[in-house]
Amino acid sequence: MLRTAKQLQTEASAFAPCPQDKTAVRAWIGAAQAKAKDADNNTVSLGTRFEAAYDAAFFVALAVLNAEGWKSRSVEGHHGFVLEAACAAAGTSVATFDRLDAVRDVRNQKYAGVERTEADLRDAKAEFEDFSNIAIHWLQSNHAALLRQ
Amino acid sequence: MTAGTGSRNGVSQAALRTLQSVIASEIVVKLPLPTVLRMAASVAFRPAAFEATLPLRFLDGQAALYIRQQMLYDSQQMSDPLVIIFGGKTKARVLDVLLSHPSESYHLRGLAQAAGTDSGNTSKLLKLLVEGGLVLAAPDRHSTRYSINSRSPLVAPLRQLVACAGLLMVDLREVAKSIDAGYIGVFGSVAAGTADTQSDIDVLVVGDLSIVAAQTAFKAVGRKHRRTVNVVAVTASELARKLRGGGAFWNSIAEGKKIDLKGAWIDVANSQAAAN
Repeated sequence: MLRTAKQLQTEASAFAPCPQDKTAVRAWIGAAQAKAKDADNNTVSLGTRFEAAYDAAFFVALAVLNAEGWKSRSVEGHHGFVLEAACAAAGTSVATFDRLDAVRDVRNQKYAGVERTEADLRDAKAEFEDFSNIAIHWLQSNHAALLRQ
Repeated sequence: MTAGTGSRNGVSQAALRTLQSVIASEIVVKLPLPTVLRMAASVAFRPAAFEATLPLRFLDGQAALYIRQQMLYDSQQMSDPLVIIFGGKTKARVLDVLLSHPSESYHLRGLAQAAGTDSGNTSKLLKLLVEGGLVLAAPDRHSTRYSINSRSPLVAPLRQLVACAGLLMVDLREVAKSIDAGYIGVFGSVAAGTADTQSDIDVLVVGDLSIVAAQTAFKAVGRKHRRTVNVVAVTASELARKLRGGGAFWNSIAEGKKIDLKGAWIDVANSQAAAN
């Protein structure tokens, strides 16, 4: 069972309530789309493209949480908390969260000098696509006003 | 077996008939779970035998769920190496908890709960372990706290045994079975037997799959044991290149201790040596 932002606020002080912000939600969605394009740019390194695919998913997660009235706090492990709470809000399966969280783990391995492969990039892009499809559908169904011009 | 005195799958026939008649009268449907469990205990409860003889549809949902959980637990014990080695569930689980958490101390009930054992048997075992010097008992108000005696010369080898054969490794091996890879093993502090409860579990996967896919596969085990599993996945040719190239990280993998989850590291090392 995935933990909600409210649960993670209680357990880890990972979130704070905030007002919905239409401008921010649209900016995050726009930034996610730009990062997704960067992930397809084969003139830059695999590592950069992998990072872009991860960022794209993370920005979508931030948009979902703002729509629910939460902002992330910079506690240890906050990226994982953001992904989990956003998956819980958008109603994804645990398996979807696990795959997304695995992309986060692999992204963090750059600090240990582990190289990413074409297969990792392919998986990271697929996980972004999967998650963003669910999240955007959820935003359209539950917070359509936030997405309108 | 003679009816009335014999046993069927470890359940006394006489007690079974009594319980059957109670269930047949459908009284049990209206009984609370603790009462059903007391009845079950009174017939030397063995879940597998129980279901074989008494259809679960006679029981209310909560009782049936409990029995199914017990059956699952029993089936897991059958494939649990520590239970086989120590010759009993209570010994295996209590020592697994104490040896896996050497810096923690437990009250009797807390330990039994963590180990999934009953307090009575756990208490008897602790008495023997304290007498044998493997466990320390420290007074705590009106109670006693138990912890592993780190000064015992048996602790280091037993921790290594638990690291290789404890429930964490059983679960990791189950996941490893499902991954299409030639070799999967644990390295780092867990393999070396120096890990604490906060240590990450480092896993090496040698196969043709992405690190993301390999990492995803171990997520459920990490969640269950509340540990972070870090997976490094490489192809066999990539591993050869890494090992030839050296570097502190790959040297530590090559030379450090490993716990094989799938395949054998000795075979990987031999094939690498032959290729060189």
